[in-house]
This record gives sequence, C-alpha cells and structure tokens, in this order.
Amino acid sequence: MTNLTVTLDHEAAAELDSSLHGDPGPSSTVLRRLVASGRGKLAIVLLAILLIIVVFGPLLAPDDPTTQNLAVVSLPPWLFGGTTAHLLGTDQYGRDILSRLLIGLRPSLLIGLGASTVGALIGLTFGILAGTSRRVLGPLILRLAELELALPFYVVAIAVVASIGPGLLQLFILLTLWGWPTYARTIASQVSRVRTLDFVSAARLAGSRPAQIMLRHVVPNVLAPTVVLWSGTIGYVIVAESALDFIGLGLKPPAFSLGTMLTDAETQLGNSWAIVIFPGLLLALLIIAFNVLGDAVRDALNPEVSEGKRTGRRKRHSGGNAMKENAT
Amino acid sequence: MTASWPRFLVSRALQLAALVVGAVSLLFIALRLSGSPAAVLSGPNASPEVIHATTIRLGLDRSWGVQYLDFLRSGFRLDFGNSFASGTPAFSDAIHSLPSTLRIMVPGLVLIVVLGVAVGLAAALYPSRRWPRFLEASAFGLQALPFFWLGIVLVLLLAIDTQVLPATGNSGFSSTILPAIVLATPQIAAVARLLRGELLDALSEPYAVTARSKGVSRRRLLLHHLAPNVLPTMISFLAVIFAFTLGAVVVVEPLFNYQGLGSLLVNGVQERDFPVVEAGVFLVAILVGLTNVLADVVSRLVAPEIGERAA
Repeated sequence: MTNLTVTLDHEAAAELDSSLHGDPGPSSTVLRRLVASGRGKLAIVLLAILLIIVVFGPLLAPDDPTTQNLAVVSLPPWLFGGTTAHLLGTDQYGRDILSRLLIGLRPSLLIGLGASTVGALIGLTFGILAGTSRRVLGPLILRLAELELALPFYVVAIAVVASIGPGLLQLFILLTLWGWPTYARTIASQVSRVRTLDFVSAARLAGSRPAQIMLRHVVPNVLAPTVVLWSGTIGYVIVAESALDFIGLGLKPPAFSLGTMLTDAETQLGNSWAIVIFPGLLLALLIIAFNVLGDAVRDALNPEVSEGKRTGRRKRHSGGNAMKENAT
Repeated sequence: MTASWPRFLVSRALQLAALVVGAVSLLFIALRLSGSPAAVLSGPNASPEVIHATTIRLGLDRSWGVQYLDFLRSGFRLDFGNSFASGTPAFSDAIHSLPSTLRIMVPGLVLIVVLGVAVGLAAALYPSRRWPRFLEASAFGLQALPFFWLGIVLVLLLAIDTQVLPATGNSGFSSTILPAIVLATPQIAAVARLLRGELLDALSEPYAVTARSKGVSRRRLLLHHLAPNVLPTMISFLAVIFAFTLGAVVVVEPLFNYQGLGSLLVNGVQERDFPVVEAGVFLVAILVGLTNVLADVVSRLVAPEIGERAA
C-alpha cells in the first residue's frame, strides 16, 4: 500500500517518464489490448462482480445489515458451527456479516473510485497549468505539490478532520485533495516536454491560438499518463479510505464501510474471527482488483513495453511486471 | 559542478524552513475550514461566552494577515497553547510522546532496510533463480493487503489465539514487535523493487559494461562497483519511507492501543484538542524536514558528485 507518496512519486513517475514515449494508438485499440490481456480480463471480471454487488447489494443481502438481533450474537460462519441463515456468521450485535459486507463495500468502492477520479481531473488541470505557465502560477503549483507530498497524508488528514470533524463529505474532499500533487508534477513535466515537440511548433507557426494548441495538441498527449496514474491510484485511495474509517476519522455511524467494520471487529477479537477476516479479505480483493487493472491499463497504453522489446533501461519494468504477475 | 558545502547547507536550511512555514500555513487554513476557529480552540462543549472570550484573547477578530503572522510567530516559538485534555503545553506533550513512537519506528525501519535490501539484492544477483522471485512476489502480495488489517490478523493469531505476544499497550520490548512489523511490511517490497531496478539500470551504464568486458564477474560488479553508486538514491528513498512510516504510525498506534505520537494525534482529533493536533502535526513536519536534510547530507558525504545529482 503505502506509500502513495512512495509508489506514485518514485515508481510510477519514474516508470511513466521512461516508458510513456511513443503513441499508444487510438483509444479503441487500447481498449482492445486491455481486454485481450490476461490481467485485463482478470481485472474486468473481478471489478464487474464487485460492481454488481455494489449496485444490487441491498437485493442480494439476505438480511438487514443494521438490524441488531441479540439472540444470534457472534455466530460463527456456516460450516464452522453456524447456521445457513447467517452464512458468514454474525457480529457482536447479531448483525448478519454477509449483508454488512455487501452494503459496506459500497462506500469503499464508490469513495475510492470517485475521489481518485475527481483528484485526477484536478491534478490534470493543475498539471497543465503548471506546465504552461512558467512565471508565477506554475512554480507556485509545483511548490504546493512538493509540500503536500512531503507531509504524510494521514497527518494532513488529522489536521483537517480535527477542525471540520469526520464525515462522508470530509472524507471525500480529503482523498480528492490527496491525489492531485502526483498528477500535477507528472503532467507538468509531460506538458513541457510535449510543448517543445515539432508538431506543436508547427501548429503554432500555422497560426493556431494557444488555447487551441493546448486542447487539440497537448492535452491528448498527456491523457495516457493521466489514465495510467489514475488506474494505479484507486487501490491506494481505497486503502487510505478504509484506514481513516478504521481509526474513526472517516464515516460517522450509522454509516458503515469495510473499514468501520474492522473497527468494530477489533474490540471483539477474542469472540469471533469471522468479523475480522471477511471484511479484510473483501477489502484486499477490491484493492488487488484495482491494482491488476492499473497494471493492465499501463501495459495496454505502452504496447512496446508489454511486447518485450525492451533492453537496458527498460529491463526493470519487465521485471516489475513479471513480479506483479506472480504476486497477483 | 558540485556546489560548495556552505551553499548546500544554506539551500537545505531554506528548504526546511519552507516546509515548516508550509505546515504552519496548512494548520492555519485547516483551523479556519470549520468557519469558527474560536469554537474549535475553545475546546469541546464551550459556551458562547467562552468562545467570545477566546476570540478576544487570541485576537481572532483581527484581519487574517495579522492573524497569520501571529500564527507563524507562535509556530517558530513552538507555542501552540495548552492541551485541553492535560492542561500542559501542547508541544511538550507531543515531544514526550515521541520516544515511544521511535521505539516502534526504528525497529520498523531497520526491518525495512534489512529485508528490502536482502530481497532486492537477491533479485538483482540471481535474476533467473526461483526463490528471489518468490521472495519479491511475497513482498508484493503483502504490499497489496491493507496494512492495518494485517495488524489485526497478527493480533488475532499471535496475541489472542496463541498468546505469544501482547496484543496492546506499552509493556516493554515485546509490545513493540507487532507494531514494528506492521509498519515495516508494506514498505519492504518498495525498497526491494527500487534497489533491484537501480542495480539493473546501473548494469547497462558504460563503465559497468567496460568492467564486465575486462572480466569482472557479475556478482563482484554488482556488490563492489554498483552498490556504492546506488547508495545516494537509496538514502533519499529512505527519507521518503521515513515520512510515510511516520504517517502510518497514526493508524498503527491506535490499532495496538500503543501510546505515542500517533495515538496522541488521533485522540487529539477525537477529543477536539486542537492545540495538541497543531503541535503534533508541526512536530511531524519538522521531523520529515530534518530527515530530508539529513538524507541529503549523508548522500553528499558518501558520494559527493552523485549525491548532488540525486538531490
């Protein structure tokens, strides 16, 4: 996990820099490559299942996730001495764990996906601004980005939540604000690189206005790195979301997520293992699904990388990909 | 061109000052996000009269510019007011919570370096063997797990079921083992991967190719010629890892009910003890800034030319 700062800043940015040269091709080709790759298929199937759960969760849930039933407190799962009425057992208030998982997945997935997406758009905008304006705005944006990257995210979150309190909206804003510096820095360097390329000079000489050049020639060329960063970030945002929920800085009761389920579970470790294991496994599955998607998207946008044409400097990426394949 | 030492140190000192000013500014803005800093600073459940008194006492009715300068000055004097909970100066509360945090962070960082370097070196030295790949793949798998969940599962296995280690609290060395492991686990893969990548990159540099063609073995080349060259990169990366681990402490300490800077901050938020939060966040910013400066200085000492480039 971790290291949003670490991973994004050092690995992803370095990888983007050295691997995202050359044209990824039209988006339909990229999509086809994504679907054709083994990891792409795996990610799509996993995410489709998780999305179905998110959409139809309330219909699939065998029980009401918030109804307490003190007659069936801390039941073990079925096959471990429990009943078929509560397949994954119940928590300390007799609530059905399976039903809570199906509903608790919603905030984790939706906030993770939503905050990464909005963060990507903000980062893209700031990155383009920073790459375009060389005098005041650009350096200011990059300095701000550096500052935010230097301070640990959870500590920034503490400062903000201390003032405005926990809650869904606060959580969303925090996670949105967290992502932008990495995008801004990567996009800014890409923008300034693209701006020196021949086709941009040609467009300028042909009389295109700056705004036109930006939209028609520069932005399309920085979309690929944005998408790569975005797909690689979602998993980390989900970890951060659940971690903030877990320490009580995220959702407020009665709202619950996989993270707050683990908070409840921690007080009951001696009574039941089911309430600890299942939310964590589902969370891990969600994170792995998005990480696999991130890898698959990166490869689909870098055909030369995945076709193994690399030597020397690019060797490390093939190694990294092979490792990730093993890991997931 | 390598800049002179005094210039180098001055530029790093300026960077550190910028980070501290930035952190104080962040706190200044955060405090005002709620719309009523006086209410936040009066502590929980304060009456309107108390809030009004706070407004006057702290000068919160003055213009924002004046307030900001005042805030900066109190930051540099390390004066964040008294904790609502303990009544003692907030910054001294934060400083006093630091040693127990370091007791889990330092072993955690040692674990990260030892295991990360071992796995990364093995992967670079034996690229075709299975076991280094297996090690790196496991480190990667662990990285994908939510680290706090790993902590709960470890407590379940080692502290509740088998009672090998204490689950929670600050009861000597044994209570630091699990938190240190949980802090370290997600970072091992990052270090291993960076080290392997840097080494393999260095392998294709002209001087490495020359050495190879003169008959230096791959193993000797990696350990004796290339390892010192990637040291500056690894040192700056370690500073990043330190910052991240310091952030993770905020999640890991409450998980183990371990009293340190992380728990102090989280309790501060839950009890709306804003002075403590301010002092704690400020302390974190100073620590992160100092670590970055230290990393730059060490990089420069071990490899003056390269250190300058990496920094």
